[in-house]
Amino acid sequence: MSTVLSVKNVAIDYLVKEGAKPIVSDISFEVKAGEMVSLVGESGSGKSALVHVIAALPRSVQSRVTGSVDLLGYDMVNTPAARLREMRGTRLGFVGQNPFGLLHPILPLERQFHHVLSAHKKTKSKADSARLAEATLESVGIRDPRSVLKGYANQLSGGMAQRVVIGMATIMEPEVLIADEPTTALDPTVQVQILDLLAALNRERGMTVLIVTHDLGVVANYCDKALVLRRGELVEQGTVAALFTEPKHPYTRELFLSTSERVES
Amino acid sequence: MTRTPVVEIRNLTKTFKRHGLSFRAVDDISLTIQAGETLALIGESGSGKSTTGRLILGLEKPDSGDVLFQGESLQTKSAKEVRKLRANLTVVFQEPFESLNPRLRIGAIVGEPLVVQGVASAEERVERTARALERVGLSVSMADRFPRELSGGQQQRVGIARAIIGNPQMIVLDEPTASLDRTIRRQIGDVLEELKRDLNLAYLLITHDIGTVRQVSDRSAVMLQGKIVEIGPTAEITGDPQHPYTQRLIGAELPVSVAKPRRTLIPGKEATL
Amino acid sequence: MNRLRFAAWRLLFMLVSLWAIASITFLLVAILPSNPAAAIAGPYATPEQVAQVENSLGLHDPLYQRYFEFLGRTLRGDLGTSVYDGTSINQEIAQLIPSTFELIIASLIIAVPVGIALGAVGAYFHRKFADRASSLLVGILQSIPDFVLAVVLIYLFSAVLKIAPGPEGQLSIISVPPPRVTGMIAVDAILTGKPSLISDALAHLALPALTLGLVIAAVFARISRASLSEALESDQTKFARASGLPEWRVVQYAFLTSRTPVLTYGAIIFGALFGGTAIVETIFNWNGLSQWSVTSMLRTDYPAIQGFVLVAGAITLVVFALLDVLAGFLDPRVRAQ
Repeated sequence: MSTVLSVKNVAIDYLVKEGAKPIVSDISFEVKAGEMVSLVGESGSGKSALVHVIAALPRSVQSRVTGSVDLLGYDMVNTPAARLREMRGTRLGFVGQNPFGLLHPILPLERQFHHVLSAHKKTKSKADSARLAEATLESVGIRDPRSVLKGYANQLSGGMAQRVVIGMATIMEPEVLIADEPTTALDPTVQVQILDLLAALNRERGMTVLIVTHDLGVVANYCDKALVLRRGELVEQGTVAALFTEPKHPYTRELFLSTSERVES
Repeated sequence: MTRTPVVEIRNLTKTFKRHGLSFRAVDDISLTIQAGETLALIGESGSGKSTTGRLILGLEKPDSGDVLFQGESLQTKSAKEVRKLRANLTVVFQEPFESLNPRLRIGAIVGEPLVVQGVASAEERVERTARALERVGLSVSMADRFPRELSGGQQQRVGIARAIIGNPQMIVLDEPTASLDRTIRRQIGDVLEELKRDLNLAYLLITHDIGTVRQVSDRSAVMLQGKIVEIGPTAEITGDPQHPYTQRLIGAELPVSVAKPRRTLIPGKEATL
Repeated sequence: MNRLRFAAWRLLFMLVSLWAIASITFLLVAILPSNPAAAIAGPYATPEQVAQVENSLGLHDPLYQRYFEFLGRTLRGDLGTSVYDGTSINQEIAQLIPSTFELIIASLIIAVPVGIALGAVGAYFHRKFADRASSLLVGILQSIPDFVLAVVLIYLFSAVLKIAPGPEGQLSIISVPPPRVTGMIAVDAILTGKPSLISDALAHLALPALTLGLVIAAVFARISRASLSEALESDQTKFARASGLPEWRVVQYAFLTSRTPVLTYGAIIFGALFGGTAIVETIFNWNGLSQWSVTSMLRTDYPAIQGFVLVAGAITLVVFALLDVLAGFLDPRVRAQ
């Protein structure tokens, strides 16, 4: 299996008024094609900052990044944004936490899909875009894609909206999908459906999924490998099975033991 | 002889209007909570669980049905009397940061209910604030800090301290662990359990977090679209759910363990809008 | 809620507000301390003569009677006559409104693009040099009072550079005004097509419009910068970029979300300008409604004051309602309320 993501000695500092605040220090890991990997940690662990650097998506805080991030052959740290545009959506997809904050509130969903598809010249007409969007929405589990597409984001439930987001992020069949806490804002039964959907995309398309979460239940039930972050440090990484049965680092042990079911079968 | 329940609701209904359409947020539900008992009201968004909590607290008026506190109907009480009641029936909210006044120090926040009720002298307030903070596992020195200096878990403990300082008989907790990490949830659950034992508190725990439900509550009621679809001892509801929705809800809980096989895709499409 | 229902509700609300404004106007003027009768009767009048004037003005009638007389009159469209010179207030206002209107529109034509551009630059280049430069410029424009800017511009463009006429009104003294179509001199000149007149009118419009335009641009710059920078830092922008949309599209998306606050403020500014143009009109001898309103107030010509407040209030309300409806058409979130 080939390596799709190679992170080497990455450190991130936020440049605030008081000086440089270290968020992530000296992290290195690799992700191979087709894996479903989770970046797990509590709030303040730096997992979100790290994944935004991996995806080269700027945040409102000024930051300084050292080290290298090689994603599908692209240097995500140094390549200018304009040159990365060609791989966005086509080779790398991104899904965030609150679908209503991601989809545009004013434009009908159909138009948003068309903008994305025509930006990458995947379709020639609005009709083509609509057809492709319909098919995609059906494949992510939306029963009535036509009326959803003609409407607006705020008319949907949280679960439906997140499916639309996943549809938009994967419509051009990217090889890698980065999901930043994709289910945190959703109800439990909906969470499971969305995670099942991501798992299906991972299995059926061989799409590599990097999922950021604080929920060990997600890690245990959906992921092959996990990267455990604590206060900006990668304390342990490995297959989920190994981490759960033989955690090496004291923090990992503490994390898993304090949240695992008291009554084990 | 049956004891008077702390809270009883009878045939409670509340209808809301949105975009010109009315829908029943709470649809003819009844239940009781005994002294010292914890009842979990489990449901997802739109189930009506939060509205039920608000009706019990007197923050909303029901369209029909009754809410009784200590056997007395809230309908017959004036707004002033309902407010007096709040000393005995307090609330802890979901977002700890948003329910704490950022301009006040922790000590003032925790002591506020005593000021509002006008019951204690200044020295007594300081004393009781210190005790409340200790009970929730915070050091007394926290009283001088501001909410923004505290972590999410600590802020939620402050919310709980504020809720117990007036020696209430029951606390309504509306999604108290929703925005917290799992480890912190476990700790908050511990605090709630301890307080329940020491102070003989009754809780109405409104949540969709099954983990906390298992940890803290004696009985559970599952709500769906305004109705209670299943109610019973927590062990039965979570261990052997009967109603299909309850089964889905319990099934959606992701156990933190690799003992069971990896989840497979559940076929079928989601319902439309 | 769909667009038509939203529009209907909004217009109904506007009618109720109009009635409220009329009533409040009446009350406010009725409790003015100054006595117009004394001014009309003159400094040498005897108390009986003053009392006579008061009676003829109906000042001694009970309040509710005066209120209904006022409402009745207003509904018929009659705003009364000036106590100063007996002219019909309807006529005065109708005569003068177009000039102010023209000035406001011309100012907004300058203010809106300049302001939004300055704000957009500040938002997009957040914290970089372009942002600081535009903030500085906006700060300067916001601090300069309109009369100072007016005088500076007159000095610079009229006296020194000699490319603009002096503050002699809407046309040069020797020009014959165009036939009245709308009442707005420049517009009428264009409509009746005399080139020399058109250039004369526009030349005279330039400096007052530029004065107001620059001052108001600062306000638009602030609003657009605030709402655009919020939009550009939002998750929505992040997702748009993550989907590979070109940068111009990302910026367009941000503009779309920040359209509503800009429109709302635009309406407020438009309303404030009715009366707010008084100083500029006076300096440039524009002979507009705002100038007249100040004069009327100084003369305690209370029917004129009443008439002005009513008309300005009504226009403001209509503009608010129209812009709300427009915002509702453009933004589904507004309709959902």
